[in-house]
Amino acid sequence: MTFSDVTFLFRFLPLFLIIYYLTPPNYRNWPLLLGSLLFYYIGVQEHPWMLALLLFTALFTWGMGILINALARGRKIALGITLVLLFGCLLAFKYGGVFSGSSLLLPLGISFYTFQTAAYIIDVYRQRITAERSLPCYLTAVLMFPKLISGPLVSYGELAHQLRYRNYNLRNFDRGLRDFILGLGLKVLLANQIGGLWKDIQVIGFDSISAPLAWMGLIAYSLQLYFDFCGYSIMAVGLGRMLGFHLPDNFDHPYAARSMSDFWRRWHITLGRWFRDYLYIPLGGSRQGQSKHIRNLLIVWLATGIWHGSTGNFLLWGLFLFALIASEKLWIGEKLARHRLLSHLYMFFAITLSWLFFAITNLGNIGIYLGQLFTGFDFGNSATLDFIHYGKEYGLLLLTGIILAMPGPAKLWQRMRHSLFGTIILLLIFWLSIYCLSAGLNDPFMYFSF
Amino acid sequence: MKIKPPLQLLALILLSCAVISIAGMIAKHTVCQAAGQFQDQPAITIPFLLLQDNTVLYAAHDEETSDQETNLTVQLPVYLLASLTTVMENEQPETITPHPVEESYFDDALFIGDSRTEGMAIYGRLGKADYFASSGMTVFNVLTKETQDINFSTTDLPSLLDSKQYGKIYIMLGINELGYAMESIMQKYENILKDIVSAQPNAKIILCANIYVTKEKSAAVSWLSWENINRLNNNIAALADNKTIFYLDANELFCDDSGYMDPAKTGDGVHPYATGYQEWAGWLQGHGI
Repeated sequence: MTFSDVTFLFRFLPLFLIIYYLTPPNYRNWPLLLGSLLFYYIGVQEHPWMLALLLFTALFTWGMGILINALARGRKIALGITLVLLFGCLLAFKYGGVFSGSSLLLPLGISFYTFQTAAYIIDVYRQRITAERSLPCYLTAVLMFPKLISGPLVSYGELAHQLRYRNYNLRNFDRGLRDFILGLGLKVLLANQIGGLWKDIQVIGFDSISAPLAWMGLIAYSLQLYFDFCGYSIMAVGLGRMLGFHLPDNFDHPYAARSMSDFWRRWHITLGRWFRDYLYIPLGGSRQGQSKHIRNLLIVWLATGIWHGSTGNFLLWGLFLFALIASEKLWIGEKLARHRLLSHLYMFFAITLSWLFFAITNLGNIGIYLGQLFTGFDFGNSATLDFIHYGKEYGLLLLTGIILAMPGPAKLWQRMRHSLFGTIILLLIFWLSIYCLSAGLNDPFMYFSF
Repeated sequence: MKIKPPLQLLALILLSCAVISIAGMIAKHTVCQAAGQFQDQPAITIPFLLLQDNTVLYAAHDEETSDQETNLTVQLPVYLLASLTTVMENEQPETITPHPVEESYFDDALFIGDSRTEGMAIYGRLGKADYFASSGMTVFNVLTKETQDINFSTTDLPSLLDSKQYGKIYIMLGINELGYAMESIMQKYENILKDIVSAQPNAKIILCANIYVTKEKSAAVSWLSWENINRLNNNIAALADNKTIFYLDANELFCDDSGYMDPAKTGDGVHPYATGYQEWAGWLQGHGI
């Protein structure tokens, strides 16, 4: 069950909200915890062992947190054991299939809750936070359904106070609802529909697309991926707000970035933050000389690639990002900062080509697609119609996507959001989304197999 | 009653939910029940399902009329009557053997169909043929839906058939509407065939078999089972008289030994790759009638 699902929107969420708000404020963690367990169970009901694994992970890390807090010596060993088990489990599920030939089913949300609980235990070890003694509080933090399956990754320190005291008011609820609907629209009306072009191109077969269509396809994929995950993240934050929580944003107009380094401070922000705080900085970051700096970058970007997927193309993707970011840090960063147009042109190619490695798993097909991108100019046969045909079908959508990816519209929306006009627009977005969801124009949320 | 501003959106949503759910429930228990459709869908989605595809209303209507017709003497379509008389006169219906033709053979051809025919129009064009095709084309909307092609601007099928005389008309329809009752589909199919024959008395009509889907797709979508598609194709084949109406089956090009579409030939289990359409064009050229 995802947020953009008729069952969630019309059955689970209304019922949950009623029970949540009927519960006295001091006890509201309970309906949230139980509701989240139900939410997860519905998502994994064909494989209930996944729920057991999740609960075990949460209980285990809670216990280890208290242990580490209490120990005077042996803290590092306790931390080590916890992390080995956590990441060992994650790697086994993600990569077990690569070596054994048969793929183990990836537990729902494991990439996110592993990172979530690892961050907690590392913070306890570093004495950034004291261990959470209350099991219900801890479980609520880890399992809460607005962020359980696909993030945002929230540090325990950000949540601890909110677990015990939340400010409830109608304005916040209304704001959360408006954000939720906006996110729904971005995902269902924009991402899912733009994604149709990428699907169509896969149906045509990469060796038969012209160069213009190939570029259109990459742009479509880039926009779909962005609005899909950005839409989800906005929904998650909106849901949190409706429940009295303040969750961090995951996106800040990444396509307006002028360098790859900047891009990754604006794309999936909470993941970038995690890698920075728990991998990059512990390795020394940029503070131990240039060669160590480059080494640390390489490790972080390979890890990022591996986190996103277990097939070879993700490694290639991580390496590609590393190459760009290292080049920026060493040579071209300054030039990009000085020349706006050049930086946007650079980013157009950097973004679309990096997503090429992300989008296609088969390395041979990546090669074919690359070939079409740069040599698909054989306009002698009837396939010339292809980019005109698909241009007519998707042109307006793509243009809308590109415009909405820029910062301007967001600023405009912030001013309009609470006006009568904004209310009407949101009502329209909501019902148009329900129309699309009902009519089966659905897509699995992309970050789902993570 | 003035609603506080922070509650206005919530109030509007709840109100519209109530209205749409009620409308959905009414539709579900009347029209949809009659057509046997959407009975397992939540009521709130029904109005949207009907908005997107109101075939349910035609299918329901057809079932009502077909109920009435069984009480009257069965009226056979004219061309079937004709072939029956030839059989009764001890004439064997001619069997036509498809043979290779030049590409110019297709200069006066019209292809009518759904997204697979659309794919042919883009990747496997033949001669100066016209392609009247669109994703989602069904027997229920083929006479009203408008589309365009290289040689004609946006128009509907009756207007196109009035505007010029074709030598051959290829029709490939059926797979999009397999979720509906077969009797409904075939009734509509025969009506459309009658209309086309009367509008184009000199044309050869070639009814094309629907290509099967992959085993995976059949498993995922119950009405796309091999048996269902096979039943549809057999029903279509039965309409051929081998005098003016013929039947052509290109499944040998796409299916493997299992009878299902070869997964290596498709990206989504339903549509051939572009290269597949090119092969199909070549196959058609080798199977002229």
